[in-house]
Amino acid sequence: MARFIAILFSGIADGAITGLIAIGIVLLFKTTGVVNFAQGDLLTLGAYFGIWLLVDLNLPTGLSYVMAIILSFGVGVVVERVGYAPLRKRPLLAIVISTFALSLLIEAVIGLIFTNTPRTLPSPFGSGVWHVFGAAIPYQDVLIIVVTIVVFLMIQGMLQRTTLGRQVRAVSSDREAALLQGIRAGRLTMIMFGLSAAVAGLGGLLIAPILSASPTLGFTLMLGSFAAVVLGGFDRVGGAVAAAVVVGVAQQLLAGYVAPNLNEAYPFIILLVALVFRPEGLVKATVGVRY
Amino acid sequence: MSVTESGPPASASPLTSASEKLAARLVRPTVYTRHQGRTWLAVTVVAALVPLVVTSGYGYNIAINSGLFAILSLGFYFQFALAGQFSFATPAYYAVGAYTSAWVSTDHGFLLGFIAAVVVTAALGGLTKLLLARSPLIHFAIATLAFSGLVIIVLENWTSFTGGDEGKFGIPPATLFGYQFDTQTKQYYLIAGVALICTALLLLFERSPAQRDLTFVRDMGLVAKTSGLRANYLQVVAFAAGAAYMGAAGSLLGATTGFVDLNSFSSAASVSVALLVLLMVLLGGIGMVWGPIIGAIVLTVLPQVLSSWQNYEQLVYAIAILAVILVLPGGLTSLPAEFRARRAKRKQRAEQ
Amino acid sequence: MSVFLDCKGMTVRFGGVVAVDDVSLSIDSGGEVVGLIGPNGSGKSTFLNAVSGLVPARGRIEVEGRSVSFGRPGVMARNGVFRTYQTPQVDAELTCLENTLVTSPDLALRGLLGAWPLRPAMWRREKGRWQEACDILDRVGLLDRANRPAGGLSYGERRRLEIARALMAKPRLLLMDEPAAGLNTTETGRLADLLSQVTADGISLVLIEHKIAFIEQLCHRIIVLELGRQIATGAPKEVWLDPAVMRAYLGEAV
Repeated sequence: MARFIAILFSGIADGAITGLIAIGIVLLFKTTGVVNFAQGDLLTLGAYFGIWLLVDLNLPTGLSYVMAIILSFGVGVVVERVGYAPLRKRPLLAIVISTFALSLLIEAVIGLIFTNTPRTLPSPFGSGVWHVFGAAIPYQDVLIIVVTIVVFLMIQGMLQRTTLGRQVRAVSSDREAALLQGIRAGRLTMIMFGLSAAVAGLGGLLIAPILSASPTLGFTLMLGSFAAVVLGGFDRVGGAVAAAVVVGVAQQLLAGYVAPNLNEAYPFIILLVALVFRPEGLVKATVGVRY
Repeated sequence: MSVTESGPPASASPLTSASEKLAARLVRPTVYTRHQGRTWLAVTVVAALVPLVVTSGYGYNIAINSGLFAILSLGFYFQFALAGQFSFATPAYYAVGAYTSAWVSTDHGFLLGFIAAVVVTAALGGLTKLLLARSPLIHFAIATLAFSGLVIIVLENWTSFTGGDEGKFGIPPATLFGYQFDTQTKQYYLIAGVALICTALLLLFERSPAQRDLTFVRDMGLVAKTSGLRANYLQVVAFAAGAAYMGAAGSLLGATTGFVDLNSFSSAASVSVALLVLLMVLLGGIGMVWGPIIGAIVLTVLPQVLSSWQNYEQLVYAIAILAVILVLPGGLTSLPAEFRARRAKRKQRAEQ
Repeated sequence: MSVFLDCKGMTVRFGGVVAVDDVSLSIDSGGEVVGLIGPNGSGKSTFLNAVSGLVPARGRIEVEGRSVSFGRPGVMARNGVFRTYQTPQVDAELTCLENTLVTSPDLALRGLLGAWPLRPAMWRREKGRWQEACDILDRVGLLDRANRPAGGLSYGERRRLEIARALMAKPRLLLMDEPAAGLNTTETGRLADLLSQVTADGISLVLIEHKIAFIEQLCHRIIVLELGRQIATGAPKEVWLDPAVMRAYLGEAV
């Protein structure tokens, strides 16, 4: 029982992190119709920003976190300006390839500055644990889960209540009509890229104390997020986060009870199975082209 | 518009005029009038003359590598440019082809090994596309990313098959009907020959009804499906053919170097092979078959010349992909047409 | 003449909106022309999309008395039912001839075999197909554009090219979504001539159209939709007098 609860919690925490990446993917898909392959690397970047500010520059924890998130936001905006804005009128694949190139670029830059040796970020709670039913749950896991819930609620609130959110929903349901209504697409996509990057960066800050940071950290995690987004729907934040948690728990259960030695293969298998059986996600996307 | 308006009324006997035009060979799809045979011959002659220039073993390594990457890029071109399928799975087919060929050729000789590699990778490629037939473009790209990663993980863990970290040794050098390709010159000719055959097959495919239907499926998507075209069949076939090219390259890799290890395809490098091939095809241009070949040669030779790139390889490639997409979307092979268009425009302006 | 296509109780829902509500349509083989009219947003195009498998729908479709499992694109094409679209769908990169050739029902040697080992046989087969496509292009008045990329065509020419592609498939029934939209008077007249020839050849038509004269010239029967529901059906002259139709088009009498 204790083992099960421990596995369950770490699964939910893993799922929460992939969920944070997934939120960014969904937000961008809603506003631009494009899948950003650099989303995972923005998480890596967040983790390294944290390490740089907190460990290397020795700044206070809170300040480092805030600055790391702001920096991530800035990188997101740069990604939009370089990899998306100039290509907006070009075929979808051109944009996908450019985000993929940006992903490699970010990875390469991190590798050059921080080398490929894994680094860790200390948890704000040290190595403290919380005892539930005999299971020892690291406080960091609890923090991840709580923060993800808060972020999710904030994003939902933003989408439902604010002008910005209404614009996102309008663009996502009928792009041309929305743009004709005078929504400034350039500004909107810039903010959304920044926001997605900030959310991913936050994920990096949260996961770095558990998994050590290496340049490919985010790219690997992103595969789980893709599975979540495919299962939960490319245009549903709630669905994607829920699916991310399911994927995270499934992964931990498989690793814990079925075959631990295949651990690294599970994200790939889950993603492939999801795509083979749910080729268009759980909710069939409506035909995007008008005939 | 005016030409059509004044044309014969639709009720006039259409048969005669159409047949006449056809008889005069006026009306046939333009692809059939664009002959590439001479270009192909010229390239063959150039390829045959390469050993006159290349003398060192080092030079041959570059030439052989260019050939291997040309075949890989042509496979990617088949999948990406012709079938419109963006896949990250290039390293997977390359690796599977290499190991299949390595095992079969050890006991049954190179030719069977090569054929086995082609057949197995074609089947694997067809299966990938078939299982994901209903996945839209981006979903498919993501799925191949996962597929490629999974294949590499399987190979990493299946050490009895792959020889683990040391790799699989003792792959017999290529022999065809008793003729041994045992020197670097001979190996170069083998690989250049296969690359040229791959090119010829692609040229023939581009001048065939299959490519016409495939283009329509690629560009029109659902409209093609509702029009009753065999969309899935065509895309599966084209994707499988591309995968088979990659498998062939894998087979040749083992047959020329004598061993294969996962470092040629895997871990960090797994992104690298996929990335490199993508860059080759983009740089050369997806407008015609010669694009990927030029891209492959340029990107095999350049890093050798600029050896100080080593540490910045991924960075340079990533920036290069971005630059090509942003500045030169048609690739190098689109440059002549671009210059011509620009000159025509300038002339037009001058006349005005 | 017998019933060729029989759609019963077609219903399409988008979320909570019922876009097509229990619409039935049957059409005879051998050149019957049925008009499908209604104000914008009445579900005409959605109905066609449902029949051709582009949007999920409920209902029953029979072709010549056989029940057809519709819902996947391509099924109706294989049953001899072809369609054109509101915005003409042509591949800008392919030439007019190629755009026509793709729907040829003659599928022989159009895969790898024809591309590689059996090229001579493929050539012979292709020549027959070119001939056919040229005849059809001639019929729609595009033969002199046969080798031009479809991307350079005018709007009206694209429409005709789309019709050529549909005719190439040798359909028994054509579903046409506003074929005359965006055409000038001359072009509309030519289109009407072309379509009456098509029906004379025994191809039946379902026409979605707004141009009244065009409808009256061609249609034997009209079905009127409003807000997804069928509100009237009958011969053109009678339908206009139907009070429900007048209300739908002109609004309530003040």
